[in-house]
Amino acid sequence: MLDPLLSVRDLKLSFQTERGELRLFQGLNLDVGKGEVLGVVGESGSGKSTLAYSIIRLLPPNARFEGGSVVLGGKDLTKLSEKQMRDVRGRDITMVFQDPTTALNPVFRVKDQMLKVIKANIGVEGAEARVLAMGMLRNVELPDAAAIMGSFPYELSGGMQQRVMIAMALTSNPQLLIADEPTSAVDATIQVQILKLLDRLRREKGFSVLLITHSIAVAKEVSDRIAVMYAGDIVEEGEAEKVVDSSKHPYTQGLVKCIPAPRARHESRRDLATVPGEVPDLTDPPPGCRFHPRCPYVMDVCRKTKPGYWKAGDSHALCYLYEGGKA
Amino acid sequence: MDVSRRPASSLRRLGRTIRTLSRDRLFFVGVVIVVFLAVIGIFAPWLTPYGDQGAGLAATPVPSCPGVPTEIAGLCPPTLAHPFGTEELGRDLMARVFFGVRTSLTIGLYVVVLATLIGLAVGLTAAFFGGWVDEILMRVTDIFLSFPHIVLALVIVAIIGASFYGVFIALGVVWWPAFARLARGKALVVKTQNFVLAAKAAGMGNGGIIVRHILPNSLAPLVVQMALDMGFAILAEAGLSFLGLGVRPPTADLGVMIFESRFYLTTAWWFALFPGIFLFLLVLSFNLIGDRVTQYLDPRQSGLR
Repeated sequence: MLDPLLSVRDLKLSFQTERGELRLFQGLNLDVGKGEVLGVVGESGSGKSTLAYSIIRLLPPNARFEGGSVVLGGKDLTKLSEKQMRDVRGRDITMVFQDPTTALNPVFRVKDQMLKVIKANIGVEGAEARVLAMGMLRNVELPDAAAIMGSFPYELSGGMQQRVMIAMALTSNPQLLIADEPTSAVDATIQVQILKLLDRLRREKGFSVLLITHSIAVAKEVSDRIAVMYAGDIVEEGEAEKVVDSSKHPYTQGLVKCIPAPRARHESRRDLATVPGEVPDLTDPPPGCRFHPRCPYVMDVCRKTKPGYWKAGDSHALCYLYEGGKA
Repeated sequence: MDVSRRPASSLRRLGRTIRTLSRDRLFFVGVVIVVFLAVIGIFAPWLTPYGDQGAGLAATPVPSCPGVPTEIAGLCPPTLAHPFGTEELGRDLMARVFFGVRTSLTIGLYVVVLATLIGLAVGLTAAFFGGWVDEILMRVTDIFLSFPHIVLALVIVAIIGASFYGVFIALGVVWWPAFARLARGKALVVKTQNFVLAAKAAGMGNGGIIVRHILPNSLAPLVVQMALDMGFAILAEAGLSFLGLGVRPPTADLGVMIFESRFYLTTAWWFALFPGIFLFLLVLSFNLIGDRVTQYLDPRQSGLR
């Protein structure tokens, strides 16, 4: 990995819920390199979105930060005041959301929203800002930028709205773009286009991407590295190819099996694989390894104590199956 | 995805409702009357030859009544020169009524606008910040709601003095809690929308988010409520004026006119009748509009169409 742009160290985060304390992150570590795309993969409820929101510090009121650091370009974001953090958001870190059809304010034209973002984040107004906005729209491969500028969000398709969101997210030349399931709400062809677009833009502009997705196939497509999350733990991390093609952790193996593969005509129809069971209730987490109730290779030790990381180069996996797994 | 939850479609739904409503006869009648009264109110000074507040004749001696003279000085039954007759000081009643409509509409509008502004400020702040801010603001709202409207308004007028502005401030203060609750309810929904999160993620401050994102998306139900409440506000204003705690002479006011006319009910029927008809039309028309809009917007009553 290149120099890290973002380093999350020993992040501890819990939630106060009606059913008690939910300890989601118990010392999470994560790095995003400069110009790198890191794919964070996991099921709903695995904490992947919460990870993103703890980086930009937009957590629900019942979340409690219990320690650790989030360092972006030398600045520890956890130590900033809310006002300083507001400057980080939208300038150093920007975000693209899952559902583009609700991410734009429905009562304003695209133009008004873009110019506002430009004014707020780079302090440019008037004709100059307009030219900038048009350029950005063209850069995200939207034809007829002028017409788009004058449109209300509901007049655009989901794919177009997502491109507008990406354009807005990139106005300030951020160092890190967090994309929270950017393609889950658009159809498959648009999905590919959006991912390719993101890939092209980050090559041109050199920003890093934290791509949050539930699809390990999507993550492999565009990520340099992949981190697989399960129940608040990063259970496996490494180069995208390696994580997918030679998965170490049983959960990752399960996810990879779930990728629908095209089959030849003579092959018999087979059902899509799933990972049996569901994400545990973290207010009452299973003892030992949090994955053990669903693990096909579960051993006695897994039920008792939490494994440590097996490490090889840049890859690691949180599992007893590998040498060094014993903490 | 549940499309009906999208704010864009709630706007479109309102648009569709208005289109459906335009084919609704009662709604149409309401709108026609409101437009008619608005024209009267706005153009009152030009619609009658009797000058400001219909007082042009007050300076001249009591008009001579062709036909039946009444025993009361000044009162004169309708004639061509005075289509609604004249009132006790000999002023033209039609002019007085037109100016009274103007007063009613102005105060009604001021009251709902003031109520909406206070209601928005309180409701949006409560919804956006939640927690103890919400708790305090909404309990204050409850306290205001717990007083009977007219009694609270009477107390306020008694304190700040009976005048045009006294009435308008008193009624505005009485009226805002309903708007605050409505604004809060809508804002609680809007606040969970993605674009609010996106604005936060883009580094926008709380004030900016409230003004730019929460406010414009919370307005629709309040606009309906404003139309609904205009009629009641006008009625409340006339009530206060009737009790002598409202608009002061010489400003023409329907409530004051009805109060003055009560001595002459048996002798000068026109004096009570014309202000009464116009007050009735004002309240009726706004209620017709409000009533139909509410029924169309209420999903439980969709069978009505």
